[in-house]
Amino acid sequence: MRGRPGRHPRLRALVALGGLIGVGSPLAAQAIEDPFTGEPPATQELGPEREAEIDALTAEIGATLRCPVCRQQSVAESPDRVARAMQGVIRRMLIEGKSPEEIEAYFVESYGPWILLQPKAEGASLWVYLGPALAFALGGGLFVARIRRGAGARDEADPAAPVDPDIASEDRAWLDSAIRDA
Amino acid sequence: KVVVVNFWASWCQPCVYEHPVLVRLAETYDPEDVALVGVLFQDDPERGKRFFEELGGDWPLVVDPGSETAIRYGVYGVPETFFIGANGVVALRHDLPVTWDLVARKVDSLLVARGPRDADVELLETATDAASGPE
Repeated sequence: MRGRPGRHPRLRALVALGGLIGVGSPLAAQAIEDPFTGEPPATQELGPEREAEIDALTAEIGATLRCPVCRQQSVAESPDRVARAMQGVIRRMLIEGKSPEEIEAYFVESYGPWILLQPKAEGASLWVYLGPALAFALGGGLFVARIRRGAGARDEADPAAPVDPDIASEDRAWLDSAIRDA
Repeated sequence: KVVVVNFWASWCQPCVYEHPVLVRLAETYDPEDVALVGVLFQDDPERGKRFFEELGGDWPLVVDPGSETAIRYGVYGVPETFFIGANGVVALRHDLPVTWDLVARKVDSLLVARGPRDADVELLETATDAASGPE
């Protein structure tokens, strides 16, 4: 490694991994292992470069999938055995040469669209994105309309504007008498 | 044939609860018509064996290394039972312990959908030919 300036794939993979999941993530402490026997899955010899690549990609894909047991956590973060088994499956599929899209599709087919942490903006899930935007637009519109009406009312009460003489006459008489008496 | 895939584990209390229903299923239906398979989920095969020694029941049991099969089926807890018709389509996925009522109705309806076995059809045709007498 030392003899090849500018080529440190393991370091690069680690940096990518770190950048992806943030510092201090529990992912660093979890090895991918068979959830029951605790042994790493039997794979052919990959070599350290490919190994690091696969590990990074597994973490990346795992971070986009929801753990079906601890549903607020990603598969990459969850300590649950099912999540670890899913990581094993992701890894196996990557080694077989499947693309991240194919792997995502596999899990969506097995579990349903809810297995993705970020719902795809299609079909019913489109409302996850459209709904708040529409609500905001509607609410914003109502808000602006209300503000405008409020401002209009103040204009009507402007003292510089001409007063209705019928209403004002009683007040004027009272005012005049008050001034005379003062 | 109709296939019933039951995911279970020795550490799962509801699996103990539903076990007698599965035993009854295995005893009621001919394995030629209804194949019951138990898939062990995240458990030690030895403990799985002991589970059956204690509770009885005798149908094919399989282990699932890496939980690959469970994940393929979208399983993340046990017990889960899948009822698959003779056409290979999953007719029902039941996430709770099965009851006899559910099992019997589902399996019966899948058997009706499948229709009679080829061997039975041949038997019926032979019998009909025999009944109509030599022509």
